[in-house]
Amino acid sequence: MRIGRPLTAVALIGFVALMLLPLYSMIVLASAPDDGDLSGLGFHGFALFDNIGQIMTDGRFPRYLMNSVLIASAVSVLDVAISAAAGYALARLRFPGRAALLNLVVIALSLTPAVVMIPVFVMLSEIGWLNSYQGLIAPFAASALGVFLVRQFALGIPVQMLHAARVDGASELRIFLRIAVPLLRPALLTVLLLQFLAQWDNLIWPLIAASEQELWTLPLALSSFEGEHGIVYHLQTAAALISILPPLVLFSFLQRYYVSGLTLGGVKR
Amino acid sequence: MTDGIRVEQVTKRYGNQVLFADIDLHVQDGEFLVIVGPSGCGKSTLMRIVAGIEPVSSGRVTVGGRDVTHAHPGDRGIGMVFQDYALYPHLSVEGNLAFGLRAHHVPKDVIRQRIADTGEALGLTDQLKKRPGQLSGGQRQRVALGRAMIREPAAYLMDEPLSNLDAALRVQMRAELIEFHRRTKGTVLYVTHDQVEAMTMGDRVAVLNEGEFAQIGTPTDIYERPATVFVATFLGSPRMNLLGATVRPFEEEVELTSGELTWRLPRKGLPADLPESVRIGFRPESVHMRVDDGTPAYPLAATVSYRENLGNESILHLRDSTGRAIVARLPPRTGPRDGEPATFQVPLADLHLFGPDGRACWHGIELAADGQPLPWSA
Repeated sequence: MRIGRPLTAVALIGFVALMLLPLYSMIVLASAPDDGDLSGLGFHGFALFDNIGQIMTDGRFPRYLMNSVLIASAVSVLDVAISAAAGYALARLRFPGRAALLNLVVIALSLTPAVVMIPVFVMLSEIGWLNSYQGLIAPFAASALGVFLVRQFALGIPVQMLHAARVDGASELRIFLRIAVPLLRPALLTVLLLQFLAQWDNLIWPLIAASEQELWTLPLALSSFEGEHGIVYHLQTAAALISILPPLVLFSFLQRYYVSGLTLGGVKR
Repeated sequence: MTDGIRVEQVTKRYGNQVLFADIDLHVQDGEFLVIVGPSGCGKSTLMRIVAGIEPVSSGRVTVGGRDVTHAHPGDRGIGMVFQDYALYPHLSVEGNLAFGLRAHHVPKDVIRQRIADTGEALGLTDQLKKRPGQLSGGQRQRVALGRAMIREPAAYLMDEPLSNLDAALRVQMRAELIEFHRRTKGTVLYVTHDQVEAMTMGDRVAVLNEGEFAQIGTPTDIYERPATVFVATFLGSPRMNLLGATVRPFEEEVELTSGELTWRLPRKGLPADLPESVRIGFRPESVHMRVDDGTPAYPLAATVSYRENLGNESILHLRDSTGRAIVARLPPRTGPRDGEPATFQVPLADLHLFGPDGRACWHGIELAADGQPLPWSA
């Protein structure tokens, strides 16, 4: 028993070190003044801020960063709005076809994104939305996962409370905005975070739907980060380092809800 | 405020299942009416129909003389207190009270004034900024009451508001609700499955069973003159003793025979069409130790199978000579011990007769009303 504790601590520290090693290696690479000698785990100089400055002032990188922020934000906000409305309705409003709609959501949940990619591509192509912001945003603005997650959470809102609001004279819209949305906040923030991260990391869709460089997002840009003489590793790594900052900031703000949200499925309020 | 609540010819169906058919109820202006019944009897559904949460299949509902059958719950002039209070947990007490007024676009200064008045009336002035989670059970109940009061409704609906409280708090809150009604003179429709609440709170009690009102009347009326076997056994604890008996005319009297027991009732006052086979009912507190004081009496010989000493009283479970179970309630430290035979008697005025259809045909208390002497019996 007594031995268990230090052993656990050592094991945990080992795991944490293992996890942080790539990040460390990334910082080392991003700090290199040039691509001359990149061997080993030690620093080869410290030009991190010069590199970052060079990336941010030079070329199209700021544009890519802005595209990523714009698309990930727009998608996650739209997804939250749609998930909130649809999830709440599926959980707590009575209307014909509710069960069938819920089944559709569950079926959609089980589809791999890759399966729908080609049909969506064709559809967007038909309406001329390829190579446009709306073409990068619209396909993800509603997610079955978001709807389902909110719906499960909304089942925890007591029906009596909604009846009380009706007796108080509130319209269904008012009940949704003033009662349901505040109570659904943990679920909505979870959806926001999940969708923001998913879009921030989304490589495949921009690759397919945005061939024009003006619309490139960070993952796309990073995957084809080339200088005049081929890949410049220290600059590419510095760019990658910049790209992990926004989700990190967002996550640290919302972590509390993220965790409580994910445990929600198994635990009744 | 003129007419209280009227439920007229209301029918509620779920698919093919009829919950109740053509039901009528009138809660008079300023009256506290309690609907009581076993779970699943439809009492909560009836209340939700009045509230507008549940649509009627057919029939009419009026509140304060206004037909609200198809009105939105918020436009019916009702305030409702729910079982778990159903307060809005993310809003302060103030926010909870103001919610309905804001929904009706009441001006801000009026809202502020009403909150202050309601808070004062309910002793919540110091709690207005708190959230429901920070309040005690009693305070939450007062907020729920305040939320119903603040819109000055024509009638109040209360759906088992005390059922989830612990025993001590329930007694206290019951007193507060009675006090609330005395003060406001509001029309209250109250639903409960608790017979104590029904007996102590209601001006009138409506006993609902299987979608029908078995009886509507004052608590005393319902206790002393239960209209059916169901009402007789549902109210009162321990429940009323019931024995099967046959009826035979005997000179100027009527003779009831049940096993080895015989009763004689004066024919006067009895219905002429008394069925041949009846059930005799008498409450446990009507069973007394036999006192041989020379009055005519029919002793009831029985053996104590076991007794429950409750401190303020004793509940005796008896078996008569034919093995039938009879329950008696006696003062503490009186009566025979376990296994001992003894002789009991029941005043004739405490008997109830029920026909084979379960409807009451006669109550012994009619004798007292007639000014007749009350001989001992049984």
